[in-house]
Amino acid sequence: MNVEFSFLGADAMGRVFLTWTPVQAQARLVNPTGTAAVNITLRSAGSGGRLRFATTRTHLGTPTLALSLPVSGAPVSVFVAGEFGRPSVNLGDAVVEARGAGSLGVLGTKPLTVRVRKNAQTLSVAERDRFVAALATLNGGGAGRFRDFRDMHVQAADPEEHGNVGFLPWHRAYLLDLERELQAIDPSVTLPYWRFDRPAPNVFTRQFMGVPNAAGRVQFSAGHPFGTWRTDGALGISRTPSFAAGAAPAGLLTETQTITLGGPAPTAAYANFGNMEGNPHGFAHTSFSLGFIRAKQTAARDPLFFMLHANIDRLWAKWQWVHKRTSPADPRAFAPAVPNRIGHRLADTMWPWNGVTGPPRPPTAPGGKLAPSPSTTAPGNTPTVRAMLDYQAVGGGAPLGFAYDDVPFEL
Amino acid sequence: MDVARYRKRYEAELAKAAAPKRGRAGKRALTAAGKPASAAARANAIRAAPLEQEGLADRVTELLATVRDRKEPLTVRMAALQALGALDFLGPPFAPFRAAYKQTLRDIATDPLRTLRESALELLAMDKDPYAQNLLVRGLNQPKEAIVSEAKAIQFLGYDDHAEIVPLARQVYKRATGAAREEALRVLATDPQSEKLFTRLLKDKSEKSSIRLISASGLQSLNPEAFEKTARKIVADDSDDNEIRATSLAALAHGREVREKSTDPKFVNTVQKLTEKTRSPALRSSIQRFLQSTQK
Repeated sequence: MNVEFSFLGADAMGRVFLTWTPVQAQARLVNPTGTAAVNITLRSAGSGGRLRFATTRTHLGTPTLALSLPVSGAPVSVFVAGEFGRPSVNLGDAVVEARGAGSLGVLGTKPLTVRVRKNAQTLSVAERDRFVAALATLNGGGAGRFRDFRDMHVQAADPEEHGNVGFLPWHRAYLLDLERELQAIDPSVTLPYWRFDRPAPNVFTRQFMGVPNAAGRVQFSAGHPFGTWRTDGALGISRTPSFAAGAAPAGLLTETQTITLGGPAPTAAYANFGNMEGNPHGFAHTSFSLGFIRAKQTAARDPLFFMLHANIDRLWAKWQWVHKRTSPADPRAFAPAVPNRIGHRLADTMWPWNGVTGPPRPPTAPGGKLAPSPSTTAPGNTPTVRAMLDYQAVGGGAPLGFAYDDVPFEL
Repeated sequence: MDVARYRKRYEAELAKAAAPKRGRAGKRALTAAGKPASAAARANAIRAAPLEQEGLADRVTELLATVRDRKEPLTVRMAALQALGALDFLGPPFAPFRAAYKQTLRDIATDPLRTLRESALELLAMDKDPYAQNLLVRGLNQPKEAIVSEAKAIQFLGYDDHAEIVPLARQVYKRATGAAREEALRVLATDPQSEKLFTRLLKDKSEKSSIRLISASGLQSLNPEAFEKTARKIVADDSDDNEIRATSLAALAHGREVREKSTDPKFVNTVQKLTEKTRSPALRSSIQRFLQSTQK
């Protein structure tokens, strides 16, 4: 007799990826030996990521859960989520275990991965190396799919991406698209974030994001996958920070200052929070005296750009959580476009994933549709601004499939 | 972690941060009544002033004046330039000020302060600005008129792949040493005629490793098949530099999309055997990554 688990959203190899958002799973008895229902306890048994269980969709799951499985083999529903603060480090290191009473012992296990975006400063060496290798592979020596992501972030696309209320939703979709492409190469990878309001000495090393030489060319350790980095025919990465490797850039708003930009609860509003596009966002870009990252048209040539924007997105996610501003129906969760620009209104589809070209949209739409994910159906391949708001599906439906290590799911 | 407890703790942090320190600093920086006395305080005040779309015209005017003000020290002018660069990221709302911003960058491109000059020239070069490109080319042709180092000049010109600077890059490569020679080589990676040069440099064990690494990248860019052939030989050559071997192998692993790659089993076997032979941590780590890439 054993217990079998099934999860919606398993990939082609049967692997399941969770975030902090509870997902529905089913447990059922296989080859039962008696005639009575079997009482089991679910517990989180992995060596890395930890799990929480509940019979309803809640953020108050528990580390163990008692269930009674009918002898008929009929499935019993249960909600499983990653335990906030205990994400996975390696694939499948979070394990759900079904244990029967007394001598029945362990009746079934299922390895899962609690996959969330983490602070780049605290990544393990293995996590760091997997991210770097996946991004280098996506770049493919300048000829890979990463080229589309550079072509998306160009001057001609500026009105789609910057200076309006869609700044945060557009970049959220952009990062999600990139992350899914990385996960197609290595499913254990997530986009790390560069927490630029704190020193990040582990990030600015030759083993990770590199260290500039006197000419401002970033140098990497021997054999580093970015050692032969090329973009648009140009060799290498140019980047000279205005801050010491052991310090944070000067003048950037801290995380708490950024969160308070939106105003105090209960009036905290996106319209004010959106001022973060100038500081810290703009200032983070220009906290380098030289380099690709400080100009829009070249920033996406530098891998650090994506870690910078992951932090911008994390700050939005944190603000959304603090003030519970995830519902598109809440006027404080978003703001009207000023001016009434297409691509920045809740119902608008976003370029380039919508494939729309020609005025007022840009002349080309590089990259095609948004990459799919085996873990979730959201936001579809043609995302709208609206679909970007409730990324954890606090209000129900399907989540976007990403989360941050310091932003919990909370109903 | 208990989410409720986490929320309580975070809300306490926010309450502490809500003290109006930042607002006061911003106002001090913007009032005409009195600027902070020290340069560091003035720079901090510029950075602390909010970058909001409201009142943007006044803010930009003040920042442009500060960047141009030669009486102000470098730290203050750089802080103003940083703030303008940050505003430029706003895109459409900054568009009405872009012409003035660009003119200011041109004005300070010949400023006595090197850091400011370089910073402005790079921003202009990224924009493929002909005025900046002319200044840079003139400096390379007439070194007495150079306003940045030879290395920086060729690097900045390289931002425009249509700038037809290959002949100039060849000249610099031939006459220069150190960083300028390296930067010239990087530019030559767009020149199909430089393939032989990159092949020769990559194979040349007496060359500096930095030159060989750039050549590996350059050759891979110009002719991936030729690079693959040369790189395989280098990887298998126990007498070659381990740094070059490790980087060549890494380039093979990531040089094209792994999912489309069919790897030669003979070469994979050679690489597998290397694991036992080499003690170089860099090469070992490249081997591991290469072998993983062939398994996916």
